[in-house]
Amino acid sequence: MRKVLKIVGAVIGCVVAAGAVFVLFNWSTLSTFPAMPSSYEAKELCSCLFVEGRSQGDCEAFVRQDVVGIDGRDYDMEGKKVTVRALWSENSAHYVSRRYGCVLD
Amino acid sequence: MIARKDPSRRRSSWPSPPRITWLIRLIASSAAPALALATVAALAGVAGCSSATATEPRDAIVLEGPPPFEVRRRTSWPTAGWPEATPEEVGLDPAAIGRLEAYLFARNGDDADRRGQRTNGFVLIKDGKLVYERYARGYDADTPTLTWSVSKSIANTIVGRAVAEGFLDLNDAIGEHYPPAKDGGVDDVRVSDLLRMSSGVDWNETYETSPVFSSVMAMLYTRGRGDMAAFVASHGLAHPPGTRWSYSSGDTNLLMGVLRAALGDERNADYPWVALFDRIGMSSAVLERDAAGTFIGSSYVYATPRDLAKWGFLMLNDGVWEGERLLPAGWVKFSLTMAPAYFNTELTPGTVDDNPGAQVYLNHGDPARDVPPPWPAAPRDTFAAQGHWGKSIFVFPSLDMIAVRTGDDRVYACDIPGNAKCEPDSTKAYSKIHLLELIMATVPGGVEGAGTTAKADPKEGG
Repeated sequence: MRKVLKIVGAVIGCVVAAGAVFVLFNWSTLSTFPAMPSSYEAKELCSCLFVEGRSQGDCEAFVRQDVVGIDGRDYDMEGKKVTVRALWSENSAHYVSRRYGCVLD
Repeated sequence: MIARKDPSRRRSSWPSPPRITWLIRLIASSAAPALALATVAALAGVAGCSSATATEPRDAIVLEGPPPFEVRRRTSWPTAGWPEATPEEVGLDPAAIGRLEAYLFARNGDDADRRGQRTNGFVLIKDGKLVYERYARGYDADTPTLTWSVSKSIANTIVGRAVAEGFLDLNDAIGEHYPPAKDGGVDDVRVSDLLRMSSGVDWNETYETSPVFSSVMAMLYTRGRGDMAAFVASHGLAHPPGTRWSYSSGDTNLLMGVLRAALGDERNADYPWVALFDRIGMSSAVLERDAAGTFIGSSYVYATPRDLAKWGFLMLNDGVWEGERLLPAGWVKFSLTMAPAYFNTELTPGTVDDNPGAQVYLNHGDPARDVPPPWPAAPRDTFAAQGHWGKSIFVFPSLDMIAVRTGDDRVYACDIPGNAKCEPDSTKAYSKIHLLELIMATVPGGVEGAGTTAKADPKEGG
């Protein structure tokens, strides 16, 4: 039994060590990923609303992804700005002009 | 979500399992390639070698010659709007147009399930006249519509204008114009390499299927969004410039940075409109910019289908519009010549039908590798701008036809390769091959010189 526990412990240790190395080597990529769902939604919602001129319902259906939960969306229809919160990250995009459409803040 | 044919290839929509499954998938999809890459990088470092540093002397590209099709004489131009005609007046079969319409606008599921072909708009131009159009899903003739990677082909033409006006040359090393290229070690990449997606820049063009390590997702939404061209340049080279083809939204946006540097900020700010959109009447065109103010040529042109067809018409007329040459002589020929590096690049099920020219896609195939033309029903001279989720501008020079289709397809038919969750019945989801069959059926008497070959279609079973 003790031998089995030792083996299991070694395996877990290896997995944890490998995970730590993986995270270390990819920190710049992994650390920015949580911003992706909210920035994606903010940018595409902004363009859908203020460039394509579609409805809020149509635009939310367009950006819907069933992977990461969205914690909140704020629409500033007068200021033409959309803010989205997901994965502890908040991102906004705003409408610039008729030619330039929207840009992420 | 972006670009590749944009993702019409590495595509497949965001999956919809519970979140714990997502976490497992995330780790599985990300860890394996990352660890493999880290191992390879470490070994390369130990060996003290880099395959990307050697740059062989290269021949200069000379722009010259007519395009690979007959350029017709025009008496009217659609700058202010397309002249209209009935299908019968231009010799098309109205019944076949009806079958085309039935396919494009059929619904095979409700919008919530995102299944079936989800056409937003379709426009058919024949002999310079608008012969059919229809819109759906809340879109109309005046809606400037997201085009994803169709933008790349329009970016090609904006750059072509800058070449015509002497601001850039195909053979320029980008470091001559764009200093950040030196910082990333990509200064020897040429303008032509970027147009042909053969820069050799170390890039991972995946979309929803592997978002964590996707270079393009990081470029558009996280680490690169502040200055996309600089972000691309910072990736360095994986191969010597011009030696490998790799579909890359990064190459297009690096090109937009080079264009901006060559033009200067003031001229760059309205250049797409002054040099191109206003000239050919693309009055609906929107071209978004990153936070640094550089155009996002990879993904963010918005325009109406009627205006998108004008890009096709400019190409059909060898870059001449209303009697004035807007693109350099030889530019369309260059754009419709297969990227040489493609023939040195190992093909995968996801890239076998790519047939890249210069940000434009061809019906060429590669007989040396038993790769047939990708669109068997269409004439061999067919070329296209293609974007994620079913957007396309197909141009058929020998038929003097242009077909623009915008859509929002999340499940494709199985004849689009590299697509695991696909619809086997090509009449019940978006299929470029089936769409082209139906378009060709509108031409009475069939189509001469279609791309069909005796070879088995490598995409079968897709």
